[in-house]
Amino acid sequence: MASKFLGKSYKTFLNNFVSLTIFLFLWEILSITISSPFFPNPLDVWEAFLILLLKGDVEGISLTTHIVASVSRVLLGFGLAVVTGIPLGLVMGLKRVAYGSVRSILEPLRFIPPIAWIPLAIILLTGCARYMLIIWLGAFFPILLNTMAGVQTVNPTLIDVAKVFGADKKTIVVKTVFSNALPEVFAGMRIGLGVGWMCIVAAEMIGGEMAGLGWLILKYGELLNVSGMIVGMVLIGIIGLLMNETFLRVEKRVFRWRREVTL
Amino acid sequence: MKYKVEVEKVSKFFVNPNGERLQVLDNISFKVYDGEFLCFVGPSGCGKTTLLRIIAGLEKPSSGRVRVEGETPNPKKIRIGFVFQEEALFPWRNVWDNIKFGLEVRGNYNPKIVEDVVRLVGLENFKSYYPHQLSGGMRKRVAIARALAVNPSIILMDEPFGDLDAQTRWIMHKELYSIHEKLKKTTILVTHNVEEAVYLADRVLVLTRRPAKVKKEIFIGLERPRNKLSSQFIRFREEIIGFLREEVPEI
Ligand SMILES: Nc1ncnc2c1ncn2[C@@H]1O[C@H](COP(=O)(O)OP(=O)(O)O)[C@@H](O)[C@H]1O
Ligand SMILES: [Mg+2]
Repeated sequence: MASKFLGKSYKTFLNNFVSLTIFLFLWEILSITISSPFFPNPLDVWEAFLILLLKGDVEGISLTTHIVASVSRVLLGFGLAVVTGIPLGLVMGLKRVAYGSVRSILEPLRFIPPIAWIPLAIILLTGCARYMLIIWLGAFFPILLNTMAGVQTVNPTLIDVAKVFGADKKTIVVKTVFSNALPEVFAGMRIGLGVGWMCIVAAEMIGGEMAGLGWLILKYGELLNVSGMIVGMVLIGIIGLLMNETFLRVEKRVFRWRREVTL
Repeated sequence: MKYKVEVEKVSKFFVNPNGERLQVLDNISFKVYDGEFLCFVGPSGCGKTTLLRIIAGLEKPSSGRVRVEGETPNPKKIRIGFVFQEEALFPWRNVWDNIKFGLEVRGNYNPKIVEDVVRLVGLENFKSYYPHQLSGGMRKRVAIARALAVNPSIILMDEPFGDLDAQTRWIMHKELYSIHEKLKKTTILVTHNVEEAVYLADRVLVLTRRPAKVKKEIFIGLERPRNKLSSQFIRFREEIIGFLREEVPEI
């Protein structure tokens, strides 16, 4: 069983290695065919990455500073989305009337893309609050909606179990409704973190500070340094992937009582 | 106190989705002695679950009154063990944590108590298993252990073995019998399985079709442990099936 599993993950790894190699190869071919100073090949990007890593960017700001700046901003906005989205989702999942009453506000709000908020954020907010608003907008709705959905999947018999043991309202909510919703809440957090992370470039367009991966991309874009831009993009992709994988792993552990964690 | 449970002239009406009044219980009265094992048999849909829920205080009677230990049923005051008809284990809690649930809610969790009931239902080797890793019979044992853990003053069981295969059900009958012998807890078990009732009960109350009334009262004066194949056992069984057949001719 273990060796079979190992074999399977090894095979997946190998397959991904092969497809990645093919991808880089096609990229190389494309860059040769196009042969433009604005279309770098994989090696140019790698070189740009090494320079960024070893010497920092054109202003001498190190890559770690950029990464730490972006990640901490996203975590702040995400944290705000967690502490607002989960309680609100819980309340609205439990009280359909509450959700029904604010539907006309929430539902349209959900469809305004975070980027559309940028001018308003510039006018109304400064500094960190700007980042937080944009990222919160991205992360909040998946957390809210998943929590709401999870709350509603509770088996009514489990609530009766708690009642028959004399549980009060709070205990019922915590030990049955919320415990039952937890996998969905986690999935919402994972999705919310992903969306929040995707908003980082938009947020850093207006944050006004000189650090951050989004900022790096914008700065190198202005300098027409395409390789440096791509380094920033790839890093955003890889960090997003790592955050998602970490979350998935935590979910698999925490929810091992489920047959499997559905994605 | 002689009677653990007193049910006096209880009727229950529901209003179903299309606004009609549906009478489920019709003027039911009975008493349950301390330590007694009482079984209800009745056709499905007659109101057995409703009756148990009223005794547990999960539902209010439309008229009449219920007394458990002399008081209006209230799970916050009286310790009740309820084994539900449906699957009712917390899927995110393992066997141990499921069993300790009632104690946890009441704020008197004590590992020793849990250990004792785990042993009583023979799940010592499965404490850390999650419900989906257990067989149907084992899940029922967990549900029974969870009900017993709070040291309930009454145990209410709603068709607890309805969804088990015949062989497992047979085993569970024996186990429930020996648990009752050991603990002598007042138990009300609802079933549509007549054999189960005759095997376990001191007394069987046969219910009519909906709205349920008590149709017949039969004292099962057989020695325990009972032999399901003895002629007296079969006579009791046939007698009760006869009463049920008057309610549901298809049996
Ligand atoms: N909460 C409820 N609202 C409306 N009707 C109900 C409710 N609970 C039970 N009933 C109805 O009462 C009748 C008896 O149900 P129940 O007590 O579950 O019967 P049994 O357990 O004997 O099968 C059924 O017809 C059922 O549809
Ligand atoms: Mg029922």
